[in-house]
Amino acid sequence: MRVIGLAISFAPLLALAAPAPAAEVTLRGSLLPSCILTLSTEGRLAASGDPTMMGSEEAGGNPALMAVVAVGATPTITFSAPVIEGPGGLDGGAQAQIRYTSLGGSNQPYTGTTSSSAQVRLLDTFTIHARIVSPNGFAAGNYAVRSTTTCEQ
Amino acid sequence: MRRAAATLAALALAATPALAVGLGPLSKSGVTDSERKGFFLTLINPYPAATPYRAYAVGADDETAQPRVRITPAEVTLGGRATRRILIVATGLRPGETYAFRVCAERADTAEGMIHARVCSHLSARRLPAA
Repeated sequence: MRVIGLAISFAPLLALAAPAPAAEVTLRGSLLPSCILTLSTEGRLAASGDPTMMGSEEAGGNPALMAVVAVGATPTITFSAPVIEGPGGLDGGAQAQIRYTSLGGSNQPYTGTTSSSAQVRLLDTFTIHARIVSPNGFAAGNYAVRSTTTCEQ
Repeated sequence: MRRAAATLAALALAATPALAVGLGPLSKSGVTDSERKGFFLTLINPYPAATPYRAYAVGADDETAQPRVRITPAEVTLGGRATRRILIVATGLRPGETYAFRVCAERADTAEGMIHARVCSHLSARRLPAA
């Protein structure tokens, strides 16, 4: 009677120890073809020793950093012609320019017009510099150079 | 203690992207036999926090506003790391017409800064010719 009782109490444990029947485990996922732009660092302009220029490559300035994450197909990154925001008395001859490089090989020298970079990789990081050239100098005040960056195919 | 808290706050700010936006797919086309054609695009918030975005339609090759395109919702606040489908409807399609345009997405509360980032999708709707 005692032997039968032990056998019954061990039966569930033996069942747990037995190898499970083979089962396939599948983990699925899907990615949307897309583009994500992330500006991790805002650029900053600083005054130059040259009174006709200020820019992000001067002491105290810094470039903007922008990451591109594309899924599916390599996009094109377009930078619109940069524009200046400054004090009302800003000299009409002042010109804004940007230049950029990327880990993927883009290398655009300073330009005041629209430019674009056809990406050769899905992940890239751009370093973007800006400057203002004003042959007649600068009035006191706050200045900014702005460019619209578009990711598209 | 106060200095440690300030340092942590500064690090948190540094880790938060200044500006981010995502959109997909980057191109789509479709055929219809009516004067309307709808598309779905997916808006992506890469931020860890809720962020307001706006979407708008412009020309295929220029920045001309496209009043024939309706976007629902045109402005939306997405939760952190969230995505949302938005409905794009091209209207007023004439028989046989192919209408190409772009829909662009960007942060609604554009921060001050050197770079203004946006993502655009090229869309093309074609209406079948009249029978």
